[in-house]
Amino acid sequence: MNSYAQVFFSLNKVLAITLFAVTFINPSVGVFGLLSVLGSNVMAYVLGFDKKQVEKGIYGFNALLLGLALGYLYAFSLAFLLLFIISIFAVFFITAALQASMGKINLPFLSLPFLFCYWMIALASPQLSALSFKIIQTSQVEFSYLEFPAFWKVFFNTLSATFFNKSVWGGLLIAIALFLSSRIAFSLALLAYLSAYGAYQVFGVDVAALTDNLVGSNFIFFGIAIGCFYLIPNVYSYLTVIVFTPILMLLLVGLNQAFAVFHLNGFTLAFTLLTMLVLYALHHRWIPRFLYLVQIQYYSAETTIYKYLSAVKRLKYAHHNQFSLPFFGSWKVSQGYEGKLTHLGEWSNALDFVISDEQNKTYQLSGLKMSDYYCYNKPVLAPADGLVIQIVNHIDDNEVGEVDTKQNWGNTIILKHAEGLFSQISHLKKDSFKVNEGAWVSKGTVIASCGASGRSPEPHIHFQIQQSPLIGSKTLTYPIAYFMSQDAAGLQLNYFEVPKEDAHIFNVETQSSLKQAFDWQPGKKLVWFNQKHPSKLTSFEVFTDAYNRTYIFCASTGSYAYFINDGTRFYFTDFEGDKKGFLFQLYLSCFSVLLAHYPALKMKDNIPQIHFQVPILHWVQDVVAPFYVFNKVVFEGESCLTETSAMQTNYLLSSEIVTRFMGLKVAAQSYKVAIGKKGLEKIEFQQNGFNEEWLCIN
Amino acid sequence: MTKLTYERPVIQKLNTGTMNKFGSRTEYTPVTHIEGVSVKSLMADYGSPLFVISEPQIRRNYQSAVRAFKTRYPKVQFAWSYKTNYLNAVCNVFHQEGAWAEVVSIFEYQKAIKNGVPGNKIIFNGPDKSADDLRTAINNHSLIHIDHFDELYMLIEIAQELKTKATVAIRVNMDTGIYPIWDRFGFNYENGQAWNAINKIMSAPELELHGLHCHIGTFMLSAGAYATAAWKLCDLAWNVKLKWNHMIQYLDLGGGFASANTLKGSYLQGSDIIPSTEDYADAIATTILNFGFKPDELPMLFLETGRSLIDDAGYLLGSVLATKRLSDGRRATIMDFGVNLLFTAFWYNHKISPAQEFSHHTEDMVLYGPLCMNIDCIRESINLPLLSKGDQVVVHRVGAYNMTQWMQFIQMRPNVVMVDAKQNVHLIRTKESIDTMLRYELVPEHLEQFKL
Repeated sequence: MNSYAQVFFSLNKVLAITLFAVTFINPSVGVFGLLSVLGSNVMAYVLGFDKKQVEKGIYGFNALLLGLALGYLYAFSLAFLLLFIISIFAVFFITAALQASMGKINLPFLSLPFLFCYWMIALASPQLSALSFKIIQTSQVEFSYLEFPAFWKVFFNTLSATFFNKSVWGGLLIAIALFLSSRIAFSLALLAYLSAYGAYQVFGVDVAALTDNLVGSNFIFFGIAIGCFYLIPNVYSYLTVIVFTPILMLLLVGLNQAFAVFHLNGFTLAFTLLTMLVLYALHHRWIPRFLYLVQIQYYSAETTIYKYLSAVKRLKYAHHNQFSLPFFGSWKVSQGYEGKLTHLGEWSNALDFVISDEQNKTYQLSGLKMSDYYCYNKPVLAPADGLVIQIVNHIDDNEVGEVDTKQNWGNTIILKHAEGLFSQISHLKKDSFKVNEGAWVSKGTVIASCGASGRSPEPHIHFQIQQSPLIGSKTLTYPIAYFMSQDAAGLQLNYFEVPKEDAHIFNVETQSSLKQAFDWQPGKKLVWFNQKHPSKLTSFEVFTDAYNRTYIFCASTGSYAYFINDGTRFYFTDFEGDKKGFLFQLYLSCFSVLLAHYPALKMKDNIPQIHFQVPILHWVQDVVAPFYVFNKVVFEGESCLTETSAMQTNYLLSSEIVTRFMGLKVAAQSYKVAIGKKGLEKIEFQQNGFNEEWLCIN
Repeated sequence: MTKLTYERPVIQKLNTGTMNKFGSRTEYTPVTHIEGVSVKSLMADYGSPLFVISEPQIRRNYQSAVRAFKTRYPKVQFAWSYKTNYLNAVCNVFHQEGAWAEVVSIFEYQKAIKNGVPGNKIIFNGPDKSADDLRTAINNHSLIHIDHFDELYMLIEIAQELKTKATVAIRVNMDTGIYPIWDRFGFNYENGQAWNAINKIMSAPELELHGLHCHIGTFMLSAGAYATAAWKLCDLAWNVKLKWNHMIQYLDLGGGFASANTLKGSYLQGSDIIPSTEDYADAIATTILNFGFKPDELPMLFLETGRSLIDDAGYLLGSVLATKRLSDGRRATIMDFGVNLLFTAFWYNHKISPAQEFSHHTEDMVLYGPLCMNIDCIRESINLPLLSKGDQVVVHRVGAYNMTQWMQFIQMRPNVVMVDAKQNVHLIRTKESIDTMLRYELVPEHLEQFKL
């Protein structure tokens, strides 16, 4: 069935069934289409091709087109049957070969196999006297033509003609099914067709030609492929479709002229070539801008756009190196990025830290001795795992108020965290280094003490990220992964931010029991049961996929929930599968969990809208999703301690998920997740008075 | 121009020659205000004597102590030592700042519970815990710090009886170079008793060993002793990890940090010789950090310091009752407060300031309290301005232990007030009256009547 929907770049069941039905308007076309699909897929299975790909109809849709074309063109005979069978073999092998070779350069093979196979037969057919062409019947019901305006008539006809039918009703059915399967694909099909229609009229080409020999289908396919399938649908992808339509028209008309010499038909060649051209060009950019290629194919423009928007927002920093603050306790940023004192020019993206008291003083007593300063001699930590590249340790501390501009950086350590990513910490105390050059240090290890060597009138830590290992290299903007800040508004969690000047900040203190509860290594199993049905167990297991994404998998519902645990925060990134299953509840309840406990600190996050759609109304959202999203699903969670144990091992995470449509609250559900010594213990789900409790057997 | 106050004449020995290190003359800066509230108005409103506690000073002390530790060590938790000062208002200031409770008797335990401290944030120390006390502590999931083997065995029995687990730590005593060693509390490190107790706990399924505790002494004048103590606790924790594959979750270094009071017999002033909180913190944190734990297996550090957090937040205001000359010619001044209220006068030379202006003339004198007992002496020798009857004085650094060790003896206990950050004065303990005393007394019927 998926082979049918694949023609329109979809895996939607409704669309597939509709297309299947439409092919049977002309029974012989339908039958040969079906036989062709079956033959091709059976072959793929038997020969041991990737089952997942087979199930997605990758090997079927070209066979379908070929089967339909053959059934449409040729009258039934023994010779035809033989030709049909060998052509299935041919189209299958061409498909497999093209997939393998073109996949390497990230290009889709589209309908090339069909075209090659069809041309092969068409070129040979004048010599094959055993085959006879059908007399094309035009005896279909034509009475309804008057009811549709000209544009729609042509549009529906084109849709239907894609499957070698010329039926307005068939086209209408396909249009409805396409709309139901994807609003974005439908609107793009329409947009592409509208521009083609316009272009044909401007250039004075007969509009009726659009319905012949899959000519119009080229535009529809191109619209869907470039507008929302291979590119993330957005304003620019829509513009691309409009701009490229006249080009496609020229190519199409030109190719058909050229092919006419050989009595051949270009069919969808123009669309295939142009799509490949655009994609090939886009693949070879230095930095992707405006037009973004789809990385993970969901075969649904809606899923793609919502997941993409969510990922852009939530996973922006997931691949960044995670730096923490290089000290214990709460310090103040005395000079931030582009500070007025010394963070200037190429050295502007650096941070200075000191300790200050309630009166904002950095020292006690008179402040005339180094030891009066709170931060003097305090431990300095490795901000991330890394290799000690260089240590300078021969410069004495200054007297208070004096600066050593000759040895500007003072005692300094350089750590290497990745290729082209180094951190430099300066003005350290002489002879306080606890590590040696060449040593590997892990995040949070004490490496030295705060001092006042170099250009440092009072003790402070200078911290900067740079691309080279040389002391005093130019600085690089780089955020601190997680830190807490305390101001008049209260306690705040900041993630992947650069601390601001004068902020009082400290590292997140993670709790080992929360860390253990969410330490899901591949191979870990979680077994759950619903309190109402204690005998029925649901088992989840953790795996890693080809994209190196870790996910928890529910075999009974075939659902996947992808997650990231970065040591400070556990968060789900995606869910695929059965939304009625318990895995979906787990996904929602622990959508974003800080592995630390700060009373009343709320974790806020947005859940991809694709999981929560308002019936019917969401069609409006879908159509404009590439431009604006007004539908929101907000996750809010906080942890509280349950007073059952002395050493803080039990937590209760409560979370609420609110769906808002244009600001109006549509639905809300809440969860309570109990975490004990052995990890997750219980999840309570509540929605509109409905209550459910799941218990975990560890 | 205000009227000059009369000062009685005084004969003073004239020192000739060059100035000595004490300067030419002594001048006292009168302490007329505490946290911006006038001493005179406090005594007018609440009587004399009067204890005054500064809430902002408590908070400053706490925050600076926390800062000293937290900027050196990642996981730090303070627990307020109830015995140092268990007035509810005082305790609650500490709890508001984030301190847990550290108690040494069921009475203090109940006080903490009534103040609203969750059971699992109470550390239960001390040698005197009855079976009932332990039951309460187990049920509340408090941290029980075992003091002796008898308690250990009793705890196992009770946990078996309750069919539950108890969260425990042991108190360890050790030689840190400070003498006398406080070896009457807990299990000794050097002779292997502590290791023995640990093994007994680890083999008892009813007990979960979460921590190790020590409290090496009081008014410690050497920060280095804490480094030794921390090292010995780390050593025990490390051995527990090696033998039992069990991580000790916290080390409790107890208290004992000195306040700036001057001990009797000390040549120099207290504030000149005591280590600062930063010094104690440095000794403890550096030792634990350097011991060799991985960053994520570092034990939590508990501190139960009392004295250094509260001493300088407490003041005692009093008035002169009378002055007289002793047989040997010394001047004696009799105050309306004595050792009944100022128990710490037995070991400190408290700093005492006049609360009003005086001339620069001073006199050596003995300060006595109001009790009709010879021991009631506050300062054996102090140089003060020429005090007369009715003059007011401020005794400094009396916040620790006085409001818990005070006696109802001859006199009754006075009012205690707290001054908050906005200079509002709150009465936090009312003075006792004859009714307070009589409430607990019963007279047998045959003794009710008598004729004289």
